[in-house]
Amino acid sequence: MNGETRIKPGILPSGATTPIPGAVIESAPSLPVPVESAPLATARRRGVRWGIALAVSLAALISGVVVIDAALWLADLFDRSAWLGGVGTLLIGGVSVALAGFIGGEYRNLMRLRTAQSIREQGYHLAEASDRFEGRGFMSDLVRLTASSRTGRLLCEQYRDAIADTHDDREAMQLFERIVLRPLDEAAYAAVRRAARDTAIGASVSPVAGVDALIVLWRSMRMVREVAEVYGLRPTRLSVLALIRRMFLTATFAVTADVVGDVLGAHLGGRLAGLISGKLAEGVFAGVRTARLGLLAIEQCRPLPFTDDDRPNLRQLVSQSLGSLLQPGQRPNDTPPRRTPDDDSMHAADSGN
Amino acid sequence: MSPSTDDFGQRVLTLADRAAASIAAAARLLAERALRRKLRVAVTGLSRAGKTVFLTALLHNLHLAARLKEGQTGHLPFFDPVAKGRLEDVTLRPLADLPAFPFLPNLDRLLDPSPDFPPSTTGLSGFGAALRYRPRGLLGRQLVDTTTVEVEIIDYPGEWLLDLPMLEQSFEAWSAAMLRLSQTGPRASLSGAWRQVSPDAPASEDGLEAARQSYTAYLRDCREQPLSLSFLQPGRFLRPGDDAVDLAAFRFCPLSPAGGGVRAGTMAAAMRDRFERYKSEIVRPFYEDVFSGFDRQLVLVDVVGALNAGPHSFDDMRLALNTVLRSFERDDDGLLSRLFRSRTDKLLFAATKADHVTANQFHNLRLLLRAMTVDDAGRLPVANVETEFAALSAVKCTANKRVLYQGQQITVLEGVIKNHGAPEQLFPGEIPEHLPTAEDWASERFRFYDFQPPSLDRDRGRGIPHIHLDKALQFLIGDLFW
Repeated sequence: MNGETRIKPGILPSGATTPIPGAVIESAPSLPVPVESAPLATARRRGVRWGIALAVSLAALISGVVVIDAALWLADLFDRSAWLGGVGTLLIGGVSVALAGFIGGEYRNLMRLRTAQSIREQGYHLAEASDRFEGRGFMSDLVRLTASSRTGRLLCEQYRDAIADTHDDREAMQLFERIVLRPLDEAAYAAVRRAARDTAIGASVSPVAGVDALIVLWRSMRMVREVAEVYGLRPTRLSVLALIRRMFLTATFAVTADVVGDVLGAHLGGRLAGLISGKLAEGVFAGVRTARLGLLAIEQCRPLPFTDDDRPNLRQLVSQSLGSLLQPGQRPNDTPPRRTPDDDSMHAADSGN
Repeated sequence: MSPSTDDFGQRVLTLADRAAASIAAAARLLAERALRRKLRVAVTGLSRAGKTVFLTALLHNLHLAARLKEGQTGHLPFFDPVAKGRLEDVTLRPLADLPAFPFLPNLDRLLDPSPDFPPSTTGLSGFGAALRYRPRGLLGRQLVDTTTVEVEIIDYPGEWLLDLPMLEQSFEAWSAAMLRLSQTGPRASLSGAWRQVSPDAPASEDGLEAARQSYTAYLRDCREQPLSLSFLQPGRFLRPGDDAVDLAAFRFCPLSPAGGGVRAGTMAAAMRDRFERYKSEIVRPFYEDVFSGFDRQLVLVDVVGALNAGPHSFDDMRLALNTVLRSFERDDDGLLSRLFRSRTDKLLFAATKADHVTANQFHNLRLLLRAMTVDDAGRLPVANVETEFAALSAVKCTANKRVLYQGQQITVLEGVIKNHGAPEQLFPGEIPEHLPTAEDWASERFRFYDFQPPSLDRDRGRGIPHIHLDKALQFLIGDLFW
C-alpha cells in the first residue's frame, strides 16, 4: 500500500499501464518470504568441513588420474595410427557426454529436491497470512513443482479452475491443500501401505537372516522413490539417498516399539499375541519400520507442511496395511481402510481420483 | 426329514428373509426421513444492496454444483459439500407458502449475450433448494446412503425491519421524531404536501390517501439519488409487498401535534387510528408469522454505494443499520422477545459489490462494515447470535490486475464500466478500515464505479463467477452437512 495512496483513484488512461507478467495480484518476486535456515543444518556444518575437503581432493585426484591416463592413452593411439586415435577420441567423447548427462540429471534432481524443501519452509509462513496477496509467485512455483506428475497435473488443473484472483494467500493455500494435496497424500499413503505389507511378508518368510534385511532395504528405497514421484519430485538414486539422509536428519516422528504390540494385540487379541511365532513378529516389526520410513519420506516430499488436523497417523497406517496380514481369510488388497467419522482426507482422495 | 417339512422350512426362511429385508428398507426410509433437515435462510438488505442478484447467482451456482465432474469444485470451492464431492443432487423448486422468487427470468437476464442485472424485487418471495448429499458421519453412513438438506431461501426487503421501533412508539412520538428528522440534513430540502396537512382538519378518506401519497413520494425522493438515504420509515411505504395489500392501513404521515388535544373526526385522530392499524396489521404479522421462522439470516449492505453517496447518505445508512440490528436482538427484555422468540442463530453481514474494489481492500471493507454496525462502545448489539462479517459480490464483474503505473506497482481493476461499452482499467482507491473522517470525505477519494455484468457463456455451464459467495453459503448452512 505504500506509495499507492499517492495515485489518485479513477479510470486510468488506456495504455498507461504495463502488465507485470505472471502476476495475478500482488505477486512479489517469487519466493518472497525469508527462509529461516533450518537449525539442524547449521548445527552440523562445522564437523563436516574436513570430510568435504577429503572428498573433493580425492575426487580431484581420481579424476586427474583418469583424465591424464585417458590423454596418455589417446596420445599413444595417435602415435600408432591417426585412425585408431580418431576411434579412441570418439569413444572417450561418448563416455564424457554420457557422464556429463548423468551428472547433470542427478544435479537437476538434487536441485529439485532442494526447491521442494525451500518451498515447504515458506509454506509455514504463508498459511498464516490471511488478507494478503503476496504469495502468488510462490503458489505458481508450487503448482509447477507438483504438476510434473500425471496425477499432479490433473489435480493442479482442478486447482487452477477453482482459484480466483480474489482469493487471498490463505485461501489459495487452503484450496491447494484440499484439491491437490489430499489426493496426493492418499496416493502416498497407499504406496507406504504396500511397502509395509511387502516388507512384513518378506521379513516373515525369508529363510536366511541377511536376506530379509536386503528385502527391506530394496523395498524401502522403492517406496521412497514412489512417494517422491507422487509429489512430483522425479527422484533418481542419488536424490533418493539425499532424501533418506534428510529424512533422518529432520525426523520428527517418534515411534515406539509398542506400535508393534498394539497392532498384534488389536488384530489377534492379547492372549493370542503370545502364541504367534517370532518370525511373524519380526515381519510386523519390519513393516512398522518401513511404514515409519514412508511417513518420513512423505513429510520430506510433501511440498507443504501438514496442518495439525491432517497429520498422518502411523498407528492407523500400520494397522491398515498389516492388519489384513494377520486376519486370515482376507485378501490384503481388498480391505478398504476403515474410516473414522471425521476422517476427511480419505474421502477427499476417493472423490479426487 | 420328509420333503414337505424341508419345503416348509425353506418357505419360512424365505419369509423371514423377506421380512428382514422389508424391515431394513423401512428402517432406512425412516432414518432418511429423520435425518432430513429443513431450514429457512433469509436474505435481506436495504434497496440496491443486491439481494436479487445474490439469490439468482446463489441458486444457479448451487444447481450447477451437483453436476460437476469428479474432483471439480466449480465456483463453490469453499462450500464443503461441493469441495469434498459429497453433493449428489440439487433440486430447485418454488415454495408452497410464499410467492416464487423469479429465478429463471432473472437468470435469463444475467446469461443473456448482452447481460444485465435483474430488476429488484419488491416484496416477500422465496425459492427452495433440496440438497441431497452423502453424509460423512459414521451414524449417517451406516443408516442411509444419501440424505437431504432442504434450504428455503427467502428474500424480503430490509426496509421492513426499519418498522420495528414503531411498535414501541405512539403516533405522536413517532410523528415528532420523523418531523425532526425531516427538518435536518438533506431531507430539509425536500418539500411535500404532507408537511402542510393540518391535524385539526376534518378527516376524509381522500385527504388521508393524498397524505399517504405525498409522504410516499417524499420517502422515494429521499431514497433516490442524489440523496440516497436509507433510514426511511415506515419501511413498508416504499415496499408494500404484494399488490393485494390493503393500503387503508398506510394512510397516515407524520403530523405536528394538534393544539388542544386530538378531537374525534380530525385528521390527527384518523391518522392515529391508521398508525395503530399499520402496526397491528402490517408490522406485527410480519414479525410474528414470517420473521420468526428464519433460521439463518444474511443482511446485505451496499457499503461501497454509501461511500459513493457521501457523508449524509453514509450516516443515514448507519442509522438504518442500527435500527435493523434491533430486530436480531435476542436479549430477554427486547421488544422482539416479548413478541416471539427469534429462531435466528446465525447472522451474516455482508458488504456487497466487493468487485468494485481491489481484492486487497476486502479486509478493510469488512472492518468498515463492522464499524458501521457496532454501537459507540464498539459492541455488536446482537447477543446469542453467531455473527460474522464478509465482503462479497454475487456476480464478479471485474478482474484484478497487477500493473506498473507511473513507476509504481499497483493493483487495478479491469472491467466494463456501466454505459462505457469497452473494458477499462481503473484504480479504485482504498476503503478506510474505520468510519471515514471529515477529511476523508473532503478529499473526494470515494468514487467507485458500477460495472456491467460479464458475458457468461451459457454452454460451458460453469456458473456465475462471484466473490466469497461460497464462503457465505458455508457460514450460513455448511454446518448442516455432517
